[in-house]
Amino acid sequence: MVDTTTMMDNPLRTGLRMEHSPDPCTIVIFGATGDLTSRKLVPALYNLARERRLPAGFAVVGFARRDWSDDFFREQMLNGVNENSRSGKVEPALWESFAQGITFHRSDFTNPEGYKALAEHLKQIDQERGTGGNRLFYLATPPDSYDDIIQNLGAAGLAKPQEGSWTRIIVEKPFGHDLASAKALNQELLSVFDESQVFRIDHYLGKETVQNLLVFRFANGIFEPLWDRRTVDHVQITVAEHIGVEGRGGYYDHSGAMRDMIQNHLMQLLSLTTMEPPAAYHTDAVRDEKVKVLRSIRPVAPNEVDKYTVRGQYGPGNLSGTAVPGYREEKGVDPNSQTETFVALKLFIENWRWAGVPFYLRTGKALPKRVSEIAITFKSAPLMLFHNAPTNDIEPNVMAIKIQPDEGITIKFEAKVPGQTNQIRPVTMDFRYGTSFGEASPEAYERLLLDCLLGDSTLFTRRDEVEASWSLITPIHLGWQAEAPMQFPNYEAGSWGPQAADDFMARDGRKWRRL
Amino acid sequence: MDDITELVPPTTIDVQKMDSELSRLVREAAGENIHALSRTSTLNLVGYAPSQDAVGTLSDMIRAQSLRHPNRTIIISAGDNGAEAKPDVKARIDAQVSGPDHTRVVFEEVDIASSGSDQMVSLVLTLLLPDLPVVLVWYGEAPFENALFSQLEKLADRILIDTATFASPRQDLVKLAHMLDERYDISDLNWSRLTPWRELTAQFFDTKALQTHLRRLDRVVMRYEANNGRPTNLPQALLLAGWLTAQLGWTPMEGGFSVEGELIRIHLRRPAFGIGSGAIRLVTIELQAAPVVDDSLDSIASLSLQATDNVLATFSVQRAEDPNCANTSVDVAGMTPMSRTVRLEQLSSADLISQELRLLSTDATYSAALRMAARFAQQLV
Repeated sequence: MVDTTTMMDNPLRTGLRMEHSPDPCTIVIFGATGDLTSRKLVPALYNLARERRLPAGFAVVGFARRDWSDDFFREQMLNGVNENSRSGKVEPALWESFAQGITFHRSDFTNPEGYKALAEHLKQIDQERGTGGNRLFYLATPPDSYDDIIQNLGAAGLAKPQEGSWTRIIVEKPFGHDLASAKALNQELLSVFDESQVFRIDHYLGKETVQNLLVFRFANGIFEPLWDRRTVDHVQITVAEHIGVEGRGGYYDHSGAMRDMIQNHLMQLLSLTTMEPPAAYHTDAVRDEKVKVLRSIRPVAPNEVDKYTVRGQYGPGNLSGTAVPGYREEKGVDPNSQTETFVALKLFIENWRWAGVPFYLRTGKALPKRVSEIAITFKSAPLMLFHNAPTNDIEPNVMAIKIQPDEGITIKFEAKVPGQTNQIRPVTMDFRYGTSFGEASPEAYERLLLDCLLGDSTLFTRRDEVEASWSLITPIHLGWQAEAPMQFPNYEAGSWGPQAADDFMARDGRKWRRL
Repeated sequence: MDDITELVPPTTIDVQKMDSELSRLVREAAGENIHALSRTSTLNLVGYAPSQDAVGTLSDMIRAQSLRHPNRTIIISAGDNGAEAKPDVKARIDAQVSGPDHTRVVFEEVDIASSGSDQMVSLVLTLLLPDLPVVLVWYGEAPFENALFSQLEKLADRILIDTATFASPRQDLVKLAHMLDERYDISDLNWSRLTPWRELTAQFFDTKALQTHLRRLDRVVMRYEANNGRPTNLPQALLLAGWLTAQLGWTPMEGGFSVEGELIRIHLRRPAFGIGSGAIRLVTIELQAAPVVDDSLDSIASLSLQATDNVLATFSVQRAEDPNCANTSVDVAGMTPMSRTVRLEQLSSADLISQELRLLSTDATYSAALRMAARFAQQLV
């Protein structure tokens, strides 16, 4: 989903393996002295350069308050790359060449003069490094600083691209903390930038996953006839994390599992699973369908949260044989915290394809395994021919699309056990593909940054997509706030969540998949 | 290859009971942990080795990339046991750890040594996994005079060769181009070796400001490694020249080919644009010999594209002292010169095979480059 205009202008790009290279450009990282830049962003850019994916005209400007020189900033970035790059320590000749394009711009985010000076700095870089006037602004700062940065970029004329160039801005998740704040942030951004310039990150999925789901559904003729309420009994979407908050308690305690995972990642998986086929394989055509299905989800009203949601918080337990503290004992967490580390939801999509099919979503921290999957459970055979046979509990067919850790597909069906009697048992047909077959995957940030530089917004969320998912989540939060405090913790670290989550399914005559 | 475990060493099997024999061997190797082994295949790889010694080398090459493209490998080689003798068929099974749950993916290889080509083909037919593409990996020499090749290529959905190993590169490139008239599904490891060079060259002209110079190029200088006048990999140089010519719409001129010692000059016509577009514009490609640096088959030392008429512009890629790096530079009159060091790794044969196996469809760019390279080679014959 890349504009191929440049490819056609450059006949040397033609061919099966010649992936498009971004235009020359400069990336300005706001908050460049923070962790994200040295641990993720610059290592990602270095690896892209190492794999010849970046253009010759390329520069990085770190924008922050600290009194750092260019050399000191480069040194910090070198340390970051050496510690965090998936390709190991830098190759000296490559790093030396790459680092020549790294500079530091000292300024406060609130100071308009700092942005005027940045504009001059960028013009100089254009002349010296041939970056062509293309700019990417990366907000690697706490959300509190977004407004100042956005307004000052606008005031300094940096938001509008020059003739023949482009300007883009990347905003990290979380994108707001509820519907009102998400809308406010969108308005702020769109008062200065055009929607086509805004790239809202949701990197969890990765391009392989997104594309695999779409290819699986729409490149195979056999699945689509099964993909609706006539054959599907229910769908379970699980994103389980094997770790606790790992020192990020201060941030997480203001967020919780619903904001951290359901609002973005699980909603992405749900929309990709349930959307209608797009009219074309273009970014906006795909996003249009995702938004359409999100808007078809029946909202959970604040007074219905008991019926459709379960919350949990982990207590002390064992993860892979190691004793771990409970959530409330983690650093930065209020000892009386009501923040949920586990959520289970039941949702219904009110359209012709999915009417009446329940979608069960669950996510949590400190669960026994790290696993993400979408499991489609089909309706049982209409007539059981084998009821006189010595069989037990013929199980419904399940197709599980595994996202992590091993991408693949599993289909469970019933088969006859060899022998004289009609003994039937479930068997699985298991196919693993992609990253399970020895291919080294690029880091998520490498894909994201490259896609943004190429102008491909597949991995980024659109304004209406963000607001549609918040509009489902915010009423649930309101409902929870209106309830009496929960008796937390209510599940042990290393277990599959609170008993209430199992009861939640049992009420419907179903159970969670054992993963 | 350190993480590949031999589960079953080469073991003679009864080819009539092939699948059950393989299943038995896998079960015996797994013991109680049968579920920790995963048998899976995406391809049939039929490899030809010209000698028994070459079987091991080819086997290693294929096995090293098998985790990326799980396959059943069938390697055939000429036996020395007489045309009427029974073929010698051995199976080996290896496993490599895959995925965070440490499942071991099983690779099956069957080696057939036989003196009769009909025998070999019939055995290969028996061994192919159904419903999977068949890739014929022809190793070590050009296939054109080999009767076995004529039979095996009929089974193959794709043929994988390496023009770097052609003993008579000039004649063999021409024959390979003729083969394109009959089938387009040919993969060439030598073409894969050129991918980094082509990427870096194309990258210069991704910039709109520099794209105009693409049409102004009138001189290409390519330095390729040669040992006492013998190029180590002439097809690679000719393919690179062929690629530029085909993609940029250049046309070889009648009588426009000259060889002066180790210097090859090719004179071409290029399209003219803009004012005076009816005029003839010329391009010269010079292939110059360079000293051999190492025994890698990637023998291109440098590539320089120049526009010398009016606004001088030079775009260069030069292999650096570090064998896995190259220096690129752009020098255009009126612009600040730009240079950088980039990675230009020397890929192993296993990596090249793996790259080619990712693309099992027609590579029209290769076809065009090969046809042009063959035209150049014809001038050298």
